[in-house]
Amino acid sequence: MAYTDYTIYKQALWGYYTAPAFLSLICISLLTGLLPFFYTAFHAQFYSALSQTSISFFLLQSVCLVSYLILSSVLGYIHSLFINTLSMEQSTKVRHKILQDFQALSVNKDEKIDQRVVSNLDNYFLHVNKYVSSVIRSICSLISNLWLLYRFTLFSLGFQLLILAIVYDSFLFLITTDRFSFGLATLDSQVDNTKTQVRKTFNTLKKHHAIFHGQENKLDWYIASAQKTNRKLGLYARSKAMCQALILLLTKSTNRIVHPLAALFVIKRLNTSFPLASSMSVNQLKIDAGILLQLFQIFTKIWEDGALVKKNTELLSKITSNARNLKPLSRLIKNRQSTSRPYSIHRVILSTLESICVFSLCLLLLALIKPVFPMFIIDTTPFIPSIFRHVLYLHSSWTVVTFTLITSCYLFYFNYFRSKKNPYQNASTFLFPYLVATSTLFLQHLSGNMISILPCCSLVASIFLLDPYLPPARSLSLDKELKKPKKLEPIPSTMQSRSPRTFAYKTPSTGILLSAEEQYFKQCKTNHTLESDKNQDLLLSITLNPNDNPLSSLECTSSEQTLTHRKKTFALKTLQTLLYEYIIHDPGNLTDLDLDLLEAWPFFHDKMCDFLSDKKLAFDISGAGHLDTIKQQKIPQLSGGETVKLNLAILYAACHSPPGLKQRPISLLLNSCLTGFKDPDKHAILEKYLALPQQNHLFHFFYCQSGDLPDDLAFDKRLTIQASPNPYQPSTKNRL
Amino acid sequence: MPNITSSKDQIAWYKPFFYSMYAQKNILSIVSIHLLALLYGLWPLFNLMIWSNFYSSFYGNSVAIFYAVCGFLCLQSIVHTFFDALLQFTTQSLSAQQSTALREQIYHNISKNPSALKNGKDLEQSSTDIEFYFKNLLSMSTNLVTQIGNLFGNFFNLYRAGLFLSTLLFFCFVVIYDLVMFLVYRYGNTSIPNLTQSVLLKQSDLRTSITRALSFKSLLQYTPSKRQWTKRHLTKLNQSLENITSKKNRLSGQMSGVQKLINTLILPSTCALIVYYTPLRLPLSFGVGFPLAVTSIGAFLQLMESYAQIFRNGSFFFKNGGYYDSFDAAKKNINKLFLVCSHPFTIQPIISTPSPNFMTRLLIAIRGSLLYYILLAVVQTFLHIAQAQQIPIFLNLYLNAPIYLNSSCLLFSMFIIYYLRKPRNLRYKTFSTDIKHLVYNFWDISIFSMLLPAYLGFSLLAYLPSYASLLHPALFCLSVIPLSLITFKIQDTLYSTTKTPKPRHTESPSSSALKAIQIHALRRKPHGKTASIDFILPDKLHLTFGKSLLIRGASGIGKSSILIESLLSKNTSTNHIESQTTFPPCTKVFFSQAKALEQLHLAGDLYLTGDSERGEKASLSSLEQYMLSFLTQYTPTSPIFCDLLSVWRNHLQEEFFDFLSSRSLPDSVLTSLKSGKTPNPDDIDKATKVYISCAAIYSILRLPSFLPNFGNILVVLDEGLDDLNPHTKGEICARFKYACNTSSSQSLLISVLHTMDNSLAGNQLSRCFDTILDLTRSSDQQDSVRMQLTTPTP
Repeated sequence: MAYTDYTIYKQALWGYYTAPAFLSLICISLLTGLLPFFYTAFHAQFYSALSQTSISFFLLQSVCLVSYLILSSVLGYIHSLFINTLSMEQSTKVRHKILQDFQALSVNKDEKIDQRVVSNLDNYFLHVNKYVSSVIRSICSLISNLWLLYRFTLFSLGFQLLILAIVYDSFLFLITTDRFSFGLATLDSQVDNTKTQVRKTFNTLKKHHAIFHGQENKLDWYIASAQKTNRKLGLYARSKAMCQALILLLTKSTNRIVHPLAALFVIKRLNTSFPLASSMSVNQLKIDAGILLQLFQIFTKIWEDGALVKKNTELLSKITSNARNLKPLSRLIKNRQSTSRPYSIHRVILSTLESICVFSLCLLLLALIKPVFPMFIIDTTPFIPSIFRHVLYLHSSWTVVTFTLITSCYLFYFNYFRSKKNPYQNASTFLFPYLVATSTLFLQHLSGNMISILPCCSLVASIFLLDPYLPPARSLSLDKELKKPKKLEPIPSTMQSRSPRTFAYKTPSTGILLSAEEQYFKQCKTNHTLESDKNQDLLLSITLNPNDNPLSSLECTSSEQTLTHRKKTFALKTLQTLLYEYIIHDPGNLTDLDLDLLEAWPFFHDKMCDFLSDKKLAFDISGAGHLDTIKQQKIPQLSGGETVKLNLAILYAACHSPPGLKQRPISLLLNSCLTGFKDPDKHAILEKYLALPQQNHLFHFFYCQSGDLPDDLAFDKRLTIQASPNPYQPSTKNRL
Repeated sequence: MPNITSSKDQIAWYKPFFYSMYAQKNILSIVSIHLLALLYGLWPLFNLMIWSNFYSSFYGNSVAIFYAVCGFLCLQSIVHTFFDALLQFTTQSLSAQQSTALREQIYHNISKNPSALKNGKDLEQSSTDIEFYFKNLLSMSTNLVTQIGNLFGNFFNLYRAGLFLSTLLFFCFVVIYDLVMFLVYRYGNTSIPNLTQSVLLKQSDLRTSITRALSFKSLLQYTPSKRQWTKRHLTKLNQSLENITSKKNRLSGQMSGVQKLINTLILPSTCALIVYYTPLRLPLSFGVGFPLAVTSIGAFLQLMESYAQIFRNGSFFFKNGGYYDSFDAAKKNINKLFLVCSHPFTIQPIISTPSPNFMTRLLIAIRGSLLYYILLAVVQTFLHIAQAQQIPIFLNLYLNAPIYLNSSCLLFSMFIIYYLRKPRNLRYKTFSTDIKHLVYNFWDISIFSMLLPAYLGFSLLAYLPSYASLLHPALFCLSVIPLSLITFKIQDTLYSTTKTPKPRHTESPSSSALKAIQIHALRRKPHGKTASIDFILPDKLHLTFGKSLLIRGASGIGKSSILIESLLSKNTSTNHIESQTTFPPCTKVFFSQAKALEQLHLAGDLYLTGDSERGEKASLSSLEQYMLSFLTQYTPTSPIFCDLLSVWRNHLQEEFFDFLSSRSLPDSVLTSLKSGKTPNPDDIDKATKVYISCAAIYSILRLPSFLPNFGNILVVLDEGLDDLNPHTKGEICARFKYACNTSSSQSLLISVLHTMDNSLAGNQLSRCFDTILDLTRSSDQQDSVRMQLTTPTP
């Protein structure tokens, strides 16, 4: 079996404190795995009663069977809900951590990062939890079934069947792997790959429709190729369907014939003679038709549970593939969070009450069941081991009812109203004390002293239950870096003096010197950070990425943002969001300055319109009325060049300080963003920006381009950066 | 199934299915699948009877009989599973066939109008959803048929026991329950389909947001406020994803929990109710005084099983809800694809399943009948054994018909089917290909020939014991042969409508008397807020072949969007442009602004390589494919294709490498090109890609000098040389000019080189271009553009 990395899972268990919930999952899996004891017992009683004389006895058996089925369904529901909730909780917590550390994430050059962070992460946790639960349940079920057969001296037959099941299952598993060309996994990957190719053809056709529009022959060739792939997909899909049908035939038909075959062998092994005698016994256990029928059923169950290899290997292979995909992320979540939780007395009280409540509920349930539950079933049936009987003989008192009511109200208030958004998030909160309480009952039976154990159990549960309501991690690595800057690099003398505020750089190539520029800007930024109040500081670095220009897109985080501050709501339009994303530092925590800036929207909007209505800029040359639309605070359908101009207008407005507000230090670096423009356009834009220092004396403007810098623009300083072997040590020389 | 009517923009839900059925001609397959589904639904009736035998013999007197019944039960289980597997295979196989056929039709429509794709959204997903559409539609329809069959069988079983009225009441309860569940869980904002959709949307939203944020990482890295906004947005999305997923999990868990619970409860509770409400006395004694028409404990227990099955299969709405949701989502997505395809959506019949050779046809004919015969023989053998041992097994009248009669009529039908499939032009290479095609493409006939006798036998002959042996073959011959004939007639009619696609019409060079493109009038129509623009043309705007032309003008004036668009569009007037142009016949090659020069991957490995569908070996290298795909359709047998290939190999290839030799390309790239491979686009830089494309343009322009009867060639180069320095650009344009001038007036190059027009001096300009077309905004009329044709002077 492939080695699977469980580092991330361990991180989730201890780093994000989901271990108690995981323990609960193990407990509940054990419980559901042991259900066959009861299942067979109730069914056997039901069928036996059918061949007896009393109708009322038969009806009672029916009621018992129905009650059992309801209980087991509820348990099954809790189990499946629990796996899903736990998995989602784990993946959300891990994802939260990853998304918070944006700098580390952005270093990652992985193209599939979105897939890893979202779907791979979700699937990984879901499959690990399912795997753990499935293994536990299968093993429990197998052990309990074999144990039952052992009591009827049929262990060797059951064991032989189990071996056969494992061998047969391994054979089926081999067919499903990719070891053979006819294996299901091989065919599956063929289908997937071809499907991706077909998907890509549509993407290519759309992406290059402009090229195909003028090159009809190329289109014809491409379509011919796409059709070939399409037919191949059809063929592969049918091969896969055939393989699946074959596997279905092999799996289902054997499942169906196990029952009659087991009947045949059991009757032979027990030397039973027909008609069945009313009182038979095997190994001193009473046996009748109902019990015999359930014995046949047990063999089917062993056959199904014996399919350990295929059932669990499928899950394991999914875990492995997801873990492989998540490997690049493991570095991001290595910084383990502290396991110590904020220890509030309120939480301790709540958890203690929770566990008492659940414990009381268990007792109440038993108290209610006891008069109704026919104890003779438990005593007489050979299917139930003695330990389960003790649970049902417990005494209870009506005082627990009072406890239950009070704590239930309390719990309802806290768990529903406090986490109203997601009341099901803390499933472990309920489940764990429930399980602790159940195990306490066993302990009580053994020790006979319930009162002494109860507080211990509550305390254990309380400590484990301190994990919910985790406050989201607010501290960010980059912010920490800003707060505590390391030893500063020597800053060029030009930066320390306040007089020159506009700089122009000539760089030979955008790619090579990108990092050098960034470091230079970083120095400037750190300088500002030390000098001024961080919240009022505005640092903007607009760098042309070799692949795409950030100014060529008008996408913002969310088109219709809503900010709230002391019950006051600000609904921002897209244009407003685009601006305030530059100037409001923390949208989740608005300051007074931010509120003033929000109020000053008309001022910023005027500045934007001023910028765009400059004739030299030639915005909206085709006369489509784009400027009018922007004046109405809407964003029209813009061409590529116009989009960049609108973004520059937004930046231009952001660099202004509204009247009546204190001027803020602002640094703007435009790195190769204007390459697409012709010289007159470039001039018009730069003239606008160069006029800004007159309005804000704390404004610094840095402009870089690869070609020769325009001579007639009034930059305070002009520098030429030459390519150096080490891009982190740029050699700067003053050209003027 | 709700009837989704077609609105103006929406295609009716059934249309893709019919389109595909028409294209693929698989009516017989669809009929066969539903017959099979009905049989699979009816089978549990037989299953119930065998199980009742099992229980009866278990409570009976003889161990030997019990053993025999166990053996028969095993056999029946295998047959039951066989039908299950067969139904699954055939459904999936048919859905794969149909989706392939529909996709082919869509490709066919796209090829007519590729630019329509620019308005398409999520087309990739739509292409995948075609498969889901067919899979879910077929699953839903076969499931419904299976359920109906199953209900019929169980009603029949309970009716025989005298419980028809109570069954009817129970069925009413099931329908109401089904409806309630359907309404509770599938309607409203918090229904499961809506929540599932929301979860998927949220996931996709989160993924898109992460990708978008990372694409602006340099911006976010040094702009703390923007970074903070992004983080807040991502965190919010993450939390809401968790909330919605939890909600969905809870609801779907509840739903499946309730469903499972009632499924398990039905058996004991109905048993208790029967015992309680009927005057039964325990222990059960089956005889004259027993209130129900059952004769054994086994049959009594199977009554409960019948109720349980009615509960499971009476759920029409709820059980098929999942299929319907997937089908509905897929249908909506397919609609997106249909919308971008040209209107009306044209369907062209295709023959994807060519007829087989002698051996294969024989096998097809034998298979279905043989299968039925084998099954029948095995069952009959078992029944004979059972009869010999006096085991009470019902429904054996039909199965006891003499073997020789059944086999003779099956052999007869076999030959009918054999002769109905006429040979077509087809050559299979190997026997294994025969078998593959046999299994994949002709399963419909086998199933059809297998199922018809089974139905006839079950439905009619069970009640006619004395005439069974005579009637069965007679009815078989009377029904199988006409039905087969009718279906094949329908299929042949559909085949006869098949038209092979005509190759695109290419005019002979003699018809091209004109040697220039003449533009008489050009205007941009007003639309929305965009005003109209009139182009003021000179007296004679002739773009002559054999020349190289440069178009100049300010950005946004309409060079690409109006002038070039009017040259490329097939119609003289489009939605936005009105033009009067006289065009000599020519092959157009257009390199658009969309970085067309960098798209080397649109050739090479994606094209047809290796064995093609028709069996001929494609021996073109990827470079040859890249070049030929500019000039001709993929018709390897046509003379023009062969001529082009030979000219490329003998002359153009040399010109191509001659062009490249003047540029300093990496050795690895040159070696790969010389060995006939286009280099991997990921391994080479942008400039190299542009050089290779320029070499291709140069070769195309040079083509008429080597193949004069090819006709005129128009190459339009709209931007794309921006990354090269002005000197290199000049050199390349000069080579292009040379190629045009030496093409015996058959090649015309029209270029728009944005950054070049003002950087080149007059001297250089005359070296690079023969003519210059200037577009300037008219000073007197604001909404008009003046065009002027000049010849640069050295």
